[in-house]
Amino acid sequence: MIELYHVDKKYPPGIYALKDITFKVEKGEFVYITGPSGAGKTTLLSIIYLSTRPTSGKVFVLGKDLTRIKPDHYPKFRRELGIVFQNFRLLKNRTVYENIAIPLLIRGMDTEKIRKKINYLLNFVGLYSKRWSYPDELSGGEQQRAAIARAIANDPFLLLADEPTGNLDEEMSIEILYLLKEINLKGVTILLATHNKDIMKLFPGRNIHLENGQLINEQTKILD
Amino acid sequence: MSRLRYWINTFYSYIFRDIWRIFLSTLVGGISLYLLVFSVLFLKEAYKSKHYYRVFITVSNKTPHSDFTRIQNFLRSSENNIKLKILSPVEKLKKLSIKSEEIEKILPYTIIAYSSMPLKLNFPSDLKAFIIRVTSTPPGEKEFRRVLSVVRNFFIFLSISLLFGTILIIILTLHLSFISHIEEIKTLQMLGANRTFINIPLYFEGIFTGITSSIIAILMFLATEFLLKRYYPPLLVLLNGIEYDIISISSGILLGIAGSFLGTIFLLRMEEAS
Repeated sequence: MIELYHVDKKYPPGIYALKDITFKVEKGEFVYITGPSGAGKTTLLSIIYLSTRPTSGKVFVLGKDLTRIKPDHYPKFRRELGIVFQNFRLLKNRTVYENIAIPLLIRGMDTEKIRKKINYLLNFVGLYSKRWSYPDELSGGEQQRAAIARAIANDPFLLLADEPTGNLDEEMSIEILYLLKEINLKGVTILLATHNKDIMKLFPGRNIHLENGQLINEQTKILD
Repeated sequence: MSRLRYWINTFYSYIFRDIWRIFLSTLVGGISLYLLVFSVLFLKEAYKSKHYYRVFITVSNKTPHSDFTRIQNFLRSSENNIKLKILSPVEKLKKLSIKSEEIEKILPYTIIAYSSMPLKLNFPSDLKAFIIRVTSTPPGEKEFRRVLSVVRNFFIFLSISLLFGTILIIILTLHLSFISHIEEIKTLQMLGANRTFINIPLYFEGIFTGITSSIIAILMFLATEFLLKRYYPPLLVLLNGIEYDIISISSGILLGIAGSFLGTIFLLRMEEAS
């Protein structure tokens, strides 16, 4: 479903953020992208959600060549994805309910369907009682759950999570991982960038390990 | 929650976070609109003076309404392509709380007749009693150039600069708005929002700035009326018959749309390019 062939990303004056990255991800997989800070994890995800263009190489998602998509078509492609960020990126002046509604409003869904969908999502992430709270009134874990609910509102085929537990303590991180695993069991492919090996021990899975922008090794299971 | 409600909420949050910025752009926009409307009026008069014979018929303000109507009908029947403009400061002066006896002292009615042919006016004898004066001005380059030079020297330069200034201010206002909401806009882009979805609250903001600017322009027109009334009432005819409130508001909305349209195209392209 996701195929990268010899992908390079070079920033002036010739620093490689990614170098010769090639791998495939199949539908329904739960894949960790690991590596230290600056290894290129975020750049790799941003290429997949079209925030960055690779300097060279090919990227295919569901058979579409992302290097050939015109900027006018980026929004349509992004609506098929779910993205979760380390800093949650919830709109501060919106309630949890309104934040989750945004992708549905963008898609043009009618008000009644939006209401039903949001209620389902709020129950799924356990935030129904906090639906009228503003992000600043929530804990980090709750904010991330709201961000996950927003990311899956459009029923994406792929969920990209960039250090989703980076700002959370261990207990909350585990909570978020459970939630992501549950989403994965519903058939959503997940690419999770993290440098936290502890959470990978809880849910072993395929690991793509990067260092200095290069793919060091791939493991099917994370072991001690 | 509907899209419209979302856009209106976003617009409110944009406005109230940056109220001083909006106020300043509104103030400059208002001044430019005021001057713009004035210069358009001057140009219109200049054009007429170039192409038409103009006859100024000064009529006593004690003329009964029926006779005043007869005078107008007489003028209309004297030439096929005649256009009349009636300058009656009475209503305007009444609005400004000037007593009717004072009005009579101040100004008679003036009818300006525009005609492509020279006019020879022989008013019926019963109407002549109400006519104070008839003066005629032939069409001519000289007067056209005289009026135009005033317009050119002052209003045109100032108003066009301010017109572009207003659009620029709206663009800059939106730019500041854009910068202060860049994280929000980037998040919306990541969620798949297209340009229109992101731009609509900014359009609202541009139109809002245009409307508030036009309110300032209207206040300036009211102040002009007040000053003319106090210091030189005969010049009140300048504003007679001009719907400056409608002109100002509609031009304000148009400027707001133009500014926000240009601004959003420019800003989102810049953001996408970065």
